[in-house]
Amino acid sequence: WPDRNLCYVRRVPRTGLWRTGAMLRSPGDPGDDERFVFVASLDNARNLSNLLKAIHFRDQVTFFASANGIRMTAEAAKSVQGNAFIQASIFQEFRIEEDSVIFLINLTVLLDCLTIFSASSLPGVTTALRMCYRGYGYPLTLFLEESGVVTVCKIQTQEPEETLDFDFCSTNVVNKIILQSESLRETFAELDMSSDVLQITMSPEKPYFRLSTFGDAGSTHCDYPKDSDMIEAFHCNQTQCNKYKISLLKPSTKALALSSKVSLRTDNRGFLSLQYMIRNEDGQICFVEYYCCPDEEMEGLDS
Amino acid sequence: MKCIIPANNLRAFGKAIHALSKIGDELWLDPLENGLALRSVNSSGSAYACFLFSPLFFLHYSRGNKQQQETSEAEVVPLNCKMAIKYVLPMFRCLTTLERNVEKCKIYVNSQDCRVVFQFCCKHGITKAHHLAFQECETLQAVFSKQLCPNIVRSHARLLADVAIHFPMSQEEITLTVTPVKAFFKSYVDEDKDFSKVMQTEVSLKPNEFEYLQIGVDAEITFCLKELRGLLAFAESMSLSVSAHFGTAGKPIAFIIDNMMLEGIFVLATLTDIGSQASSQLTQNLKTYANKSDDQPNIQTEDVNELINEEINSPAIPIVTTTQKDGWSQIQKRKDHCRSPRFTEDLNQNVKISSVFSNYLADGVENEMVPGTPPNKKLCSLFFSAVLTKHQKNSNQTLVSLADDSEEEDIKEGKHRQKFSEL
Repeated sequence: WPDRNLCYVRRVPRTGLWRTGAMLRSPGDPGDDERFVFVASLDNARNLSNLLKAIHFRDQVTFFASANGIRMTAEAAKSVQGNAFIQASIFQEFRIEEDSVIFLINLTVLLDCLTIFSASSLPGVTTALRMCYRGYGYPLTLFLEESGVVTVCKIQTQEPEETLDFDFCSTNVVNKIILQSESLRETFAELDMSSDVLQITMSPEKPYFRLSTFGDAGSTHCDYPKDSDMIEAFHCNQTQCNKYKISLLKPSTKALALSSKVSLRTDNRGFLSLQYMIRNEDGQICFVEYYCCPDEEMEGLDS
Repeated sequence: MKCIIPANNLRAFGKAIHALSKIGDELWLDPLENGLALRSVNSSGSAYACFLFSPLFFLHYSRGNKQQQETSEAEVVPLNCKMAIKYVLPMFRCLTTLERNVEKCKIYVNSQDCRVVFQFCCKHGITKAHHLAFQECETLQAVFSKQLCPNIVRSHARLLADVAIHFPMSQEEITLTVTPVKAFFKSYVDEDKDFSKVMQTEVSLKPNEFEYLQIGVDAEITFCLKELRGLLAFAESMSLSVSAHFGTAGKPIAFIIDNMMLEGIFVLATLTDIGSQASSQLTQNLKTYANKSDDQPNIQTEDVNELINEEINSPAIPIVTTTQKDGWSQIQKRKDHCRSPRFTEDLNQNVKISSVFSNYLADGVENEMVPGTPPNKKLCSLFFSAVLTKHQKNSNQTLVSLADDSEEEDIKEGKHRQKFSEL
């Protein structure tokens, strides 16, 4: 596979006939539709692009599609993984001819294409999207249309890499807290980045739920009482205090910003799972999930 | 020390910190009997700022007492400490968010861990506690007496802010010229800068635009606008009036604000006017004095005061710092007499005065002063020690606060600190 991520763009003025998903032919490609192993259409491309921004901390992401929908995965330092899920029901059209489709793709390029008409959300103006993939070795083709103008993008796909399996299963969950995102947003935005780690304490006793940093200025502790009205569910069985590299968790702030609720779970190894419930522009619910390993050096030490 | 700030006063506290951050790098925390003092001074000792928050400002205020031992926070003898202001500022950076989310802010000193704790009690039961390291230090106070200022100008902060807005943010210094019938501010330009390439601004005001105007001596003074902007922003946000107390060029100017719950004072050094009448007068006095006698003089209180006055009110502001442990008073900032390279010419003038004086004290031994260097340190200590012996008896003289500070009893009782409230 070539190293470059080729993106071929062609603009063709056209009326938006295919917006409803009824169009069978893509402009300039008559009769190709049958050869696509994967086709998905969205009336509003932002329902995809906004979600993908929440895991945009790396250029290369793994694209995985099955009958259930699409999952995109980004990883860093073999310690943190971000997943964005867009279920099939979100799409106006979703067809997959194989059991699954998987490839590596450049997320920066993909996002640039998805937002090719405008990066910001203008009210009432949406970009329609049609994604097509012919199979192994072929690029991912995007047709984007806004106000009658169509753009065709072809993005190179690459050999998929193995993604980490954090082996995080619900049976091993020790502590779980579900919070309203708005209360956590400021805390995360103000995190002292001069601290190497973010320490998360979850306990059935005081301080219940505490986020701590240890930076140049000194230490900062943000405490949530278990009966706070910002906490929707509090299930803590055991006192756990784990440290995670702050640089790895900081990208999750984007997902937090989009979400309305967030669940934090830790398992018996101290692995952290953050699940963000995000409502898209049409009110549909999608999920973004982050997994993070505890910082090994500090494991077991109390603050 | 422990205090609790209610939500409605958070903005004022935060704005005070913003204003202090414009002055120096460090925030000095001084719990006094009459309130909590927050101070800052710049590195060259040419700007000093202090905000004093009275106990009324807080939901709770206690200095800390050896007798009181609380279980959660051990409070000892009132602790003077300083912290890097860059670590305090982020906590108060976004005041709107603070006002929206925080119900109260508790500040206390945890001397066991050597931390000052800023604990924000937010909505929904959330608490955010910042534990900052501090350094124990001496108290910091500028020696300045507003009673000795012949000129007082008071105006609403709005007026001064409107004046300041006309000057570009990069404008360092401005010159204020006042007579009983006119007042104008103009930008100050260094002699070495090319006048034709610099934009100059001048704003004139009529005396009736001020709330109060008292001009005892016509003055043309130059001070740093950048350092003042912090106070102006504070005063404007609180809708307060600002009083400027000053004399002639070379003497510091103090900007004072106050309301029921707090007081603020910014003391800024002013440029010495080289060709001024006052300076030559001083040189005259010294020469006359020198001729009187060859022996160690019987230093006359009044004359010496005048000399101290002139000496002190040169570009650097005398800052008194006292350690609690020993009773020594040191003029700490004296060493940083030279405010900036720009002041070379002014320094020459001061140096000239000093050299005349040091000649005298050193029993006529010629003391060659190198232009552009700070005055002889030996001179300072000699001079003040000579003064101290005489003045320990005279505690009424405001300027003799220097001598007062050296007395251990006064320090323990915190007497010298109360001088500030008299200013």
